[in-house]
Amino acid sequence: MKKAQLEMGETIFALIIIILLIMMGLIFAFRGEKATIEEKVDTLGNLDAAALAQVVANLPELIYSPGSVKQQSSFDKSKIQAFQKLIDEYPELSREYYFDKLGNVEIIIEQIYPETEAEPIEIYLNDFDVNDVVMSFGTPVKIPTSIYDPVTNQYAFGVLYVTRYVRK
Amino acid sequence: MKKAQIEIMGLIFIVLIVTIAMLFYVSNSVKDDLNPGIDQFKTYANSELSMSFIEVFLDTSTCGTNIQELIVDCAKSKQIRCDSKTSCEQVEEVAEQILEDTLILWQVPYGLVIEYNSFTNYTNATEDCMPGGQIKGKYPPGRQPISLYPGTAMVELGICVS
Repeated sequence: MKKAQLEMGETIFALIIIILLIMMGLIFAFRGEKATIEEKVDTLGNLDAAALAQVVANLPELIYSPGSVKQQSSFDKSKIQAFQKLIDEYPELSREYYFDKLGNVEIIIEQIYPETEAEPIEIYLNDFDVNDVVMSFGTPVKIPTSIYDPVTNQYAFGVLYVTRYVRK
Repeated sequence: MKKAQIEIMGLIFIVLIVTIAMLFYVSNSVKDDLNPGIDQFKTYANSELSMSFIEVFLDTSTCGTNIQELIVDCAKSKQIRCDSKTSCEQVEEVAEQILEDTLILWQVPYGLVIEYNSFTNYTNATEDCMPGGQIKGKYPPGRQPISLYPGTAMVELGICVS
């Protein structure tokens, strides 16, 4: 082997080692970055869900408003039932109507106190078609809320869960 | 190897280093852009959580009245009885039950203080959330004063997320 060929081999070998080291450094650096950015995107998803929760907490179809005056963080149990009935009877129409306001979201309200054996109430769910792969965007945003029962005239302690959905 | 080839290799090496530097710069600026929104969300979420919690807690019906009335009764006359319990005991029992199914379940560190009057108060906090009796945390706690005339009762809930 000639001297020039040996020198070229050495240079190429050194270059390969340098590039490998750089790539390894990049992989480690971006692995850490990826986790941080994913966490931040998750939090921003929650920010969006928190904004949506405010929209839900102000929907006249759901809130308790005696004499047209809105009560702070208070849902009307009978309105929730009526809303569920509406969604069940006209799924397509209601989905289309509320999509503009809420988008792809799941809204659940759960009564915490007094304890009840009833399951949490799913007020609204608009995810994607069954065949689409669906993932939740961030953890559900949880907002304490009153549930007013007009039959018993009692306020229960409840929690509103809002989860956003996105296509995978 | 010819001189020209070595120069090209050097050039490629410089371009590679500049590209890596730019990648780091872009990823850092994206992170900086995300930070204000995240801080705002955390402040909003924690303040909203503590304030909503207190409002809803005070409105909650129990024992033929609501928690706010029970707090007033506990601070002033202690006349209301809930089965065999006093109004103070009922408030504390309901608070514990609600906290168990919400903040404790969600693993959110908290500090709840109900100051009935200058003599009586009730504290319920997760470990390390209230060192020295003060709620620790980055976000301001939710506070709701209740008029007793004379005096004021105070309900305070802090979320101890740093």
